[in-house]
Amino acid sequence: MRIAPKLALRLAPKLALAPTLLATGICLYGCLLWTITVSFTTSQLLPSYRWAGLINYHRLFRSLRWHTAYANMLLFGASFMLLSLVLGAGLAVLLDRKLRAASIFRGIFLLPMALSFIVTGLAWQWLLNPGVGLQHFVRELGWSRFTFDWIADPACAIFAVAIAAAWHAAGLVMVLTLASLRAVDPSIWQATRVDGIPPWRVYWHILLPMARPALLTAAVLLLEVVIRTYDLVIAMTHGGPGGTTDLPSLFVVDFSLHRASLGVAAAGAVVMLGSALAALAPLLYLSRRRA
Amino acid sequence: MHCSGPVAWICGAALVLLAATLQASDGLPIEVIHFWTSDSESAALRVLAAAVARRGGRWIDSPIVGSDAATSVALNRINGGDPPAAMLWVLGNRVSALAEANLLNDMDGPAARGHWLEVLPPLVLEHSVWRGHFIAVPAEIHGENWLWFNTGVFHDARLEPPAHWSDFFAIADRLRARGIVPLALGAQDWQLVLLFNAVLLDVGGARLYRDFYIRHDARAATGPAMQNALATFARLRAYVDPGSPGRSWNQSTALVISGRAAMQVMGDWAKREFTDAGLALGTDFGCRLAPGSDGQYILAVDSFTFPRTHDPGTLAAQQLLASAVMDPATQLEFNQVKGSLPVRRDLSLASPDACTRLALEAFANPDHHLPNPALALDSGAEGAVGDVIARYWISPSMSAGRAAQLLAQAIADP
Amino acid sequence: MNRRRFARLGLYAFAISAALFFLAPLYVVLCTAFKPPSELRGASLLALPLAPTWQAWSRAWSHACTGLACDGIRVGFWNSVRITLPAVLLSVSLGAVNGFALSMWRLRGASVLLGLLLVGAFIPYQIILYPLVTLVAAAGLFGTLPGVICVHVIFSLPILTLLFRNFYASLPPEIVSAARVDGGSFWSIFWHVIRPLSSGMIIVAVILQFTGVWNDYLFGLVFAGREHLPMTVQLNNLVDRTYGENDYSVDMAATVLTALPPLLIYLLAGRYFVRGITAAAVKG
Repeated sequence: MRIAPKLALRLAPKLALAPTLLATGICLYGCLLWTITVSFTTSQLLPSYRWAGLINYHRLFRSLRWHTAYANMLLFGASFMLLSLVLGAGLAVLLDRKLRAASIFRGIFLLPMALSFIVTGLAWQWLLNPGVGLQHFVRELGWSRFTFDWIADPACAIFAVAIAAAWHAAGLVMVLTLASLRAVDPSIWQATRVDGIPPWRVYWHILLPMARPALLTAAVLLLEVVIRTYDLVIAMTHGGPGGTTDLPSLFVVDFSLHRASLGVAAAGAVVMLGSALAALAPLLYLSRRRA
Repeated sequence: MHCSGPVAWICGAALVLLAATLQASDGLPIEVIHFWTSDSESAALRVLAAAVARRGGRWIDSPIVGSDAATSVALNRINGGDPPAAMLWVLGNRVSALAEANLLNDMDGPAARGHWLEVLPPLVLEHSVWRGHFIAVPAEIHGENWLWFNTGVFHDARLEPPAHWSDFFAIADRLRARGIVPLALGAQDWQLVLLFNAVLLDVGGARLYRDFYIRHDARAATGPAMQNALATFARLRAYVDPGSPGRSWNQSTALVISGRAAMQVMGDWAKREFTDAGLALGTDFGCRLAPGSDGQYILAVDSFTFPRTHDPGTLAAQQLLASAVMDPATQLEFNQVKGSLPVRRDLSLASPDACTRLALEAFANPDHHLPNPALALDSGAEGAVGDVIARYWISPSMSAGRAAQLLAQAIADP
Repeated sequence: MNRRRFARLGLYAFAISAALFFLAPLYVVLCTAFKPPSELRGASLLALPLAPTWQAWSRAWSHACTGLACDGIRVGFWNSVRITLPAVLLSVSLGAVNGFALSMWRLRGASVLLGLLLVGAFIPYQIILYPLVTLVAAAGLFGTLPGVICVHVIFSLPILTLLFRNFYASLPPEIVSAARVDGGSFWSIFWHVIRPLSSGMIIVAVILQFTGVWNDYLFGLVFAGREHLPMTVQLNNLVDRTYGENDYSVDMAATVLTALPPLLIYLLAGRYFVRGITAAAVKG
């Protein structure tokens, strides 16, 4: 094989990247710039490009609904991410312990990932329905005072949604963490056995910290889910009861379509993006600081 | 494109000729985006499709469930250069928003030919016309302030359904003592607003309703009558079952059908649920206008609109559909299947059942027609009112005065 | 010894409870899909069907009404296939090439580029539909199969590029330098050297992408055009009704049918999925 000219070699990766990067850049960033622009215009049902200053942001922050939705997002985000990370890491540790029928368990834990969020929301809505679902079933079994009506309770509905979302996402966290645990040098295990350290200590103090990059990657992916969750909530509670599972993504869709206030919706989207970046920054910082 | 006056006839004739020539091939294709996806609505759709076919058209169906998704798809199709021939919308602020954005063709031609100006009720006409042009073709009239009840339950309890909301509470207490859920309600925003409007109509009268919804009178919105209405509405919380949050309306109707609940305030589309479940009007279930309606009728109207296009084939298709929908025979058959009232006032229904007769009585006087929030408010205000009512319903700590203030803000926002 | 046994029992208890948690919703869905209409009203959703039947399944597949047409959800099945397979093929290939370029060739600002790409993943799609439609229509692809495939590819590139880049970054760089010494060009190195080593990651990417594209609702609804609507749209039309009776057994049967292809893929290839991610040895 002849040696390729040096210039061509240097250019080749750039040429390979260029078309897709260009397309992605134009699409994503074009759309992003458009959204930011529209948030400063008088757009109603359709975009108009008349400058409107900050009025959309005023309307946004004056809206009862936005404040509820934003607060819900914080609640949902925190509980969902915590639950997914803990559950996922826990399952990874579980599967690392060499159980019998581990592959069956693993398959079960991965199943929810195959389902769409619409299906997830519907299935959980049916399961958590106080009248005919889990609560009813357990009561029929004899525990007549058992209640699990979180989905109908304004104070708890958002956590029911977080549970459903964690059910879907825990599998991914598990796989990422498990990969990290499996890559661990077996000599560490031998050393700890010699020293007589109980396994849970090994996990807690040594292995899980080693899995930090995996967990951080998982956290980034989970954060993306928090921002983009829409189908799950619509299918499960439709934003109810009384707006307690309303989220900024629902707000944006509702205002841009139903309420013909595209400008306000765009302002909401910009605030969402800003919040996402604010949450992303510490995660990226943490993943950079590798010992 | 608007044809008016004598030009309308020429345009119309040209299009009819065009339609005739195209008909020779396969029937003029008319793609319609709509949100009628249930079995009973499909039956009504078939009537329309048959009417279209009789005129030489071919109905192409694009059902999309959920009006938000339908809005999104319709707008994006228009933006992407591939608009459907027709779209179904709830008449009112959505249609106005489309007209204002200059997205609609007008149907002045078929309107002139069909004398729509003379046969449509004033309230419907007002919203079907935009700056002098017909931009929406109403298909049906639904009433929102109805009371549906299980006659067996009331008979066993030796009670009568309430004539006014002030009567409701004593009756409901006795029902509750017998283990019956007095009021079946799905606590979704729109259902709560529908219920609230029924209470408002009784407690504040049609005058307060108009002052609030049509004149956007802030003093009326915060006055004692409104607060009274809100307080009465809040008292209803105690009479719904715990499964009501987020429940869809037809699941709530199912409670009344099975006798677990006594009554439901819901639009006349609920009748179909009862008849489909095999219940007989009069013996098993009954209908009345909501307590204290006093002959007033809150209208909800679905209509067809036609995206702007200059393509002569599509134009012909649009006019074909418009004429088909407003045709007297189609109106009669379609609305009978759907359980609603025809939009034309010049029709006489053959053997209407008891509920339809009540509806016709209320509908007969145009002065008694009241707009539902979609007709009365712009979409932002409509949404804001829904937010306030829904929030008030789940907040026992919110006073009626505070809620009234929020309502005033909701309708005042420009 | 006793303590160890106790710990083992505890592990199995945790595993079984977790399994119940993960299976419960699916159990509800499957159970109800087999119930005849008589068992649906008022009965507990968790009760096993007394007289299981395939009725709901056949209705969901071929008779259920969505609008005027009563052809069930099978109409959408081939559309979903036609959208998903090319989208997966294209996006995984491009992701691999991009990941390779970003990881193994010293490019200035590679991490910045990657970061910028990632940020793109945090925009709620619904708000950018309008400009996206404008762009796609300008390219003449609106309402076509290639159009919706392109949209899927573009939106999945950030994550796939990230995954592949991380994967290739964990491979020893000597592979590339050795191949360059032997006279390889970018493309020949990729095809002959890197590709055979990537099978683990490729499987992961294919599984993730297949699931993501197959289960998508929004892009299919807006960009695919009337003749190419995927199964998820039919499913939604069926299940999300507010008027009329909800036949829960048909709804749930339709739900399972729509979810079946990704479910099968996970069941069959699940072990490769874990192996593939393990091989990726995520480095953050």
